[in-house]
Amino acid sequence: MKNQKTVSALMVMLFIAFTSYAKNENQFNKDITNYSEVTSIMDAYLSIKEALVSDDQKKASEYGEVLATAASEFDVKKYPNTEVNEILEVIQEHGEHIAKSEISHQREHFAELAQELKDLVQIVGTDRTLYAQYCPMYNNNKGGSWLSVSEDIKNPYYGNKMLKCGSVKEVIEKD
Amino acid sequence: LKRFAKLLGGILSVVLIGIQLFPNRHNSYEPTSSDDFIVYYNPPQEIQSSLRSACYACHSNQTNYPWYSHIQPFGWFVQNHIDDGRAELNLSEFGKLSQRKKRMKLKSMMKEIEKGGMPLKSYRLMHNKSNLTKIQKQHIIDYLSSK
Repeated sequence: MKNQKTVSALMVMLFIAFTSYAKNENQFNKDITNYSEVTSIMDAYLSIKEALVSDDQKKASEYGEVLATAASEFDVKKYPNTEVNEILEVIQEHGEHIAKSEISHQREHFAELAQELKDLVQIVGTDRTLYAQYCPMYNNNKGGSWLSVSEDIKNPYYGNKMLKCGSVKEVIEKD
Repeated sequence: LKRFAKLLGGILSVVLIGIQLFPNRHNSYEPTSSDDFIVYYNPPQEIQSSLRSACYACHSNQTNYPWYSHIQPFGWFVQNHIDDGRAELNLSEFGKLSQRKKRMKLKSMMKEIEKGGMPLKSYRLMHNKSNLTKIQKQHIIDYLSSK
């Protein structure tokens, strides 16, 4: 029994050491590859999207937190335009809600994010080509948009039930 | 068994009386500022009264505390709801928000009223006036979407 405890404690410690090492590695890569700030926001957003596509509330919640942090850490001083700060404030709040909500409410906040991100990249640019996609059925046929890095449709609003509903409405080219 | 029931009753009443020694904080009733939602937008009378009776108790700096908020444990719940409510949306300070944030909050208000998520069920149970009719709700939603 005691032995078992020691072994599991050791495993936990190893795991923590390993993950923190992996994190550091990541940080390092970002620094050497001309890391743009919008990257961490887009990464978090797209991870939330992937999570919602696969009906994964927990993962969406984790990346909601990441998105909120990324928005709050964005260096707005580079942009004299006050609009950027306002967009980031709103993105941060959506992220915080996604972090603490059940999946249908996560999707409501996610639906609001597409326009904010489009407005953001219009000012600060995008590090990758984005496809603005649209499903007319979401929210009682009022429709819902999202951004994707691929032309393929993977609808985040219904998960498994309706993966293919939607079409590309706009292509936002990489700067 | 009788002795056990007596003992349990005794402990329970001691606890119930004891927790009265820890009253909840009551927010002060602040004067209306120019940032107040109703001052800022000046909506029609009907909308004003709906907002006041269904939203302002928790979502403003002007809480009229109900009598039971002075009795524990209810007072703690009440104060908790008010703190959460104001952190999410404070109608007394609505005018201070950026235009973008205002749009976000207006949308969330519509959504919550439409879904019936707000006002909270527990609040509606205790405050009949906050039980808006379907028509009152529709009027608020139409008004909010016009902003």
